[in-house]
Amino acid sequence: MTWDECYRSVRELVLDYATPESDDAPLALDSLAVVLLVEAIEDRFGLTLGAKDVTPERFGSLGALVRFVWSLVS
Amino acid sequence: MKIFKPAEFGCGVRIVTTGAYLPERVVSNADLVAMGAPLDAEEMVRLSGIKFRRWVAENQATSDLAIAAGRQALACAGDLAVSLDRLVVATVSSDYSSPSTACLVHAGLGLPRLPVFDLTASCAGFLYALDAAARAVATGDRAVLAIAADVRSRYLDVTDRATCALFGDGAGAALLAPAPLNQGLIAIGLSADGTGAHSIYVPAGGSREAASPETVATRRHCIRMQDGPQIYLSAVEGMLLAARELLDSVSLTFNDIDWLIPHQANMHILKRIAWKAGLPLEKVICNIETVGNISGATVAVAMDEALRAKRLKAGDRVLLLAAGAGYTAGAALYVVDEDLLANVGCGANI
Repeated sequence: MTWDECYRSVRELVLDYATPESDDAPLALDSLAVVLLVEAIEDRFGLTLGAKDVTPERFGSLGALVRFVWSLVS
Repeated sequence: MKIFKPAEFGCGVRIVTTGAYLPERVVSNADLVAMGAPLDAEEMVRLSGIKFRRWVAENQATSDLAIAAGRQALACAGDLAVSLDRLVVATVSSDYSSPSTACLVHAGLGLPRLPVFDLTASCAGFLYALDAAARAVATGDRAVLAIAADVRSRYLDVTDRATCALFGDGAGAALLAPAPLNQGLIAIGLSADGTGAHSIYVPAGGSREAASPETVATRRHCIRMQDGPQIYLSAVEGMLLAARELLDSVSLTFNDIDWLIPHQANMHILKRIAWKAGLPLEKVICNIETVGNISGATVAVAMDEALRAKRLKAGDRVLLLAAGAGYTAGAALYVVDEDLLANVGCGANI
């Protein structure tokens, strides 16, 4: 998987729950949306995330989330 | 985790019969929306898997539900009902701060002089009550009634997005008695991690912040859930850890389990546990869609329903599993026997 593929894939999942104006704009996801997004990311990328993986920083913006997922799949 | 195996103490402990009671009032998601909930009905289903829950009537309290569940269990217990030596009630929603709900249940059931007490372990309440009851049987009690009952609807802020759809009211009971070695309850384990104490809690109304007009106006006597994603993932990890430790202690794995009866916290949590445990959902007893999260009573109510519906068979290995606020956690391995199936069948359906 390339960075661009990872970016597009994460963005597609995020758009189900938020419409960020830019990669660095706050996602403002509520807690239940984060839960569903975690499940969607696990399904899409074949990952298993734990409680320690889900931090406000990593789920705070689209860019941060892409970097986090990329760090796990690259 | 502290694991108790009756056989290591030269005895066996079994559940003679169970009982459960759900209040009559059915509250739908649409009802919650009409009360001011900030989610629409479909969103509630998507986020929690819950469509309905039961709530108490204005004149009902936790002890009323506990008495009904306890009475149902005792009605099917035969002679053991008059040999009762102890009553344990797990609840986080007592009728009063004092005295214990167990005392009210004692009176309601018309029991003779015997020790009764409450314990508080949130959504792991039934597992904690089961442990206390099993240990009492192992040290000489002839029969112990363990009840888990909660009325969380009294502590609900229906305008709170995180919790408005989750909670229902209800009670479940199990009557425990001695058994032959290695029958019935094989092992039960409990644990707690108090660093999570403020993740799900009721801020006001206790000795930390006494009830006042201001706490009522700001709904600080209602359940508050912080860091939702962390709670969700921690609940899954807490339950899986408890299950694995317990199964390891008896040299079993999830593959050896016929049924999982987990705390009904949220459908996403149940599915995630099943997925991580490698269990098909068909092996997981789920009633959350129609009763919601009944806090400490969920496992007891779900077990009673599964027995009454004849889903559990003699010889089935059942893993009871729960995690709750605190954080608390518990797991128990139980082997169903013919007597339990026959006894539960004698009672009226809930």
